[in-house]
Amino acid sequence: MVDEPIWLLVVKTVLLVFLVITFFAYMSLFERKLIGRAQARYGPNRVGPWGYLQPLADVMKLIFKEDFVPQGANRWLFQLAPVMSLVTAITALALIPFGDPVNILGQDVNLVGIDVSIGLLIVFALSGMGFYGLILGGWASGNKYSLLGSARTAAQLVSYEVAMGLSVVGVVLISQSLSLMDIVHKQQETVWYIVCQPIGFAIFVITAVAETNRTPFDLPESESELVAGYMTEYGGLKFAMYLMSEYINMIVVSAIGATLFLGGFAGPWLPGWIWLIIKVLAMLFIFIWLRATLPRLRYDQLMRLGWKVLLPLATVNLIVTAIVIGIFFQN
Amino acid sequence: MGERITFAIAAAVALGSAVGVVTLKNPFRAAVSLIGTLLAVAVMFLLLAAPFVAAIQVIVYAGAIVVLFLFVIAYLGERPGRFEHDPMARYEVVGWIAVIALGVQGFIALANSRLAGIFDDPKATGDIGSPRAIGEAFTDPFVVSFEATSLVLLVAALGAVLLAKRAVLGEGGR
Repeated sequence: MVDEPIWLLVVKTVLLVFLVITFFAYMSLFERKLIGRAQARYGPNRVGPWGYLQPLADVMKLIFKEDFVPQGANRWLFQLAPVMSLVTAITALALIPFGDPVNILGQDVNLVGIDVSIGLLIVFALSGMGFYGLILGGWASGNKYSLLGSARTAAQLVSYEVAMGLSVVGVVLISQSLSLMDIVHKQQETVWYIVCQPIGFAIFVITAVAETNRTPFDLPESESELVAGYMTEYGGLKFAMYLMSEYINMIVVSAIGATLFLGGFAGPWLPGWIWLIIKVLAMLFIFIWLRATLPRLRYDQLMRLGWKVLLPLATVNLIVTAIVIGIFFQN
Repeated sequence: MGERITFAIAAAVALGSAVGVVTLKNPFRAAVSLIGTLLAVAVMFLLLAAPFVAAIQVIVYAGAIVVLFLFVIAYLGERPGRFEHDPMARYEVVGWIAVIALGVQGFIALANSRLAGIFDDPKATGDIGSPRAIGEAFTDPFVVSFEATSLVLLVAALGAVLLAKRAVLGEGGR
């Protein structure tokens, strides 16, 4: 870490938020086109050349929609919930390292928002806060479908958060650090941790899909039975905020997965941030591929997978990792 | 100076939301108010240079336990408690006297104690709040109490499962 003046932090923040929102817009297009291909159709191809202006059209539509609060809703929480979701999702981006410090026009710049000694824990804390956006939004809507959606969110996220936490402890044990920057540097010196922690990585990916409410774990927002669950009563920009936080959460969790298991910004020839983006895109492709391939789980299947398969597996993985490190790598 | 301002804000938020937890009629709102208290306490841990405890406070208490509360409340539906004929109501005065007496007692005890940081700025205690320091404390000086705690938690979890099983069996389930 090099010291940076305040203005540089502000510039970096604005730039990152702008970039990630653009990335979100094009990710939704990427997803729709890819799912179109998976289902033997074209996907959006009318707005602009090959449909590449579709995100712009979507955003314009959402901006000009009426901003309303339904009768019977808790007005204050109803407005606050989507903001909470979005803010926690974007804040987590600050902790992801994009590379070692570089010198741009005579000014040393950290390619990370903030590198703290407990970075990984802060990411988990932020995602824990992000759940409240979903739970409070569903409750505040005053709609039975929304309430069911938020109850499902609460149960699902608490169940899978435990397995996710245990799956990354192996990485922390190997790297002896909770700082994401240190974890990447350790992987540069040795190997990518997917080699030592293949089970950990598999559990991480599965729980990441569940934590971001994506198919096949999208029970909180299942459109065919709960009419989009906690988002039922939301429209216009507030709906866009939920959508945006879901996609940004996917980006964040992919970046965390890439940082912990795939070496983060480490890689030959190309600059670090390009490597990170390539790895994030690969993870996102898996997310979309899963959505195009698998149907939604039943609720009991979801709970059984979480508590009876993933949690014991993650625990065993952790114990084995700890024993191996304790015996062979005492120093 | 900045630390004192941060502490004052965190303390005010913690106390304000705690009052909300006990006074709000709607249980869902009370649980939401509890989040405010827990987050403010996390800020205080940060002020004490204990970032690990602060993060765990947010992840476990604010992130999991209150979510569980909200889940239960959302499932059971909101039934605000009705205490129109609360038999304890006539003792309200006694309760307030006890609260004030405890407050005065606590104040006197604190003012007479020689604890660091009450009338002067405390000295730094060294590293006690980092993940490494806490891990070492768990494995070396406090290993017995740590293991005993985990045993108690295990017994509690098993007990909860057994009780739930009996209740389900009692209702004719499997």
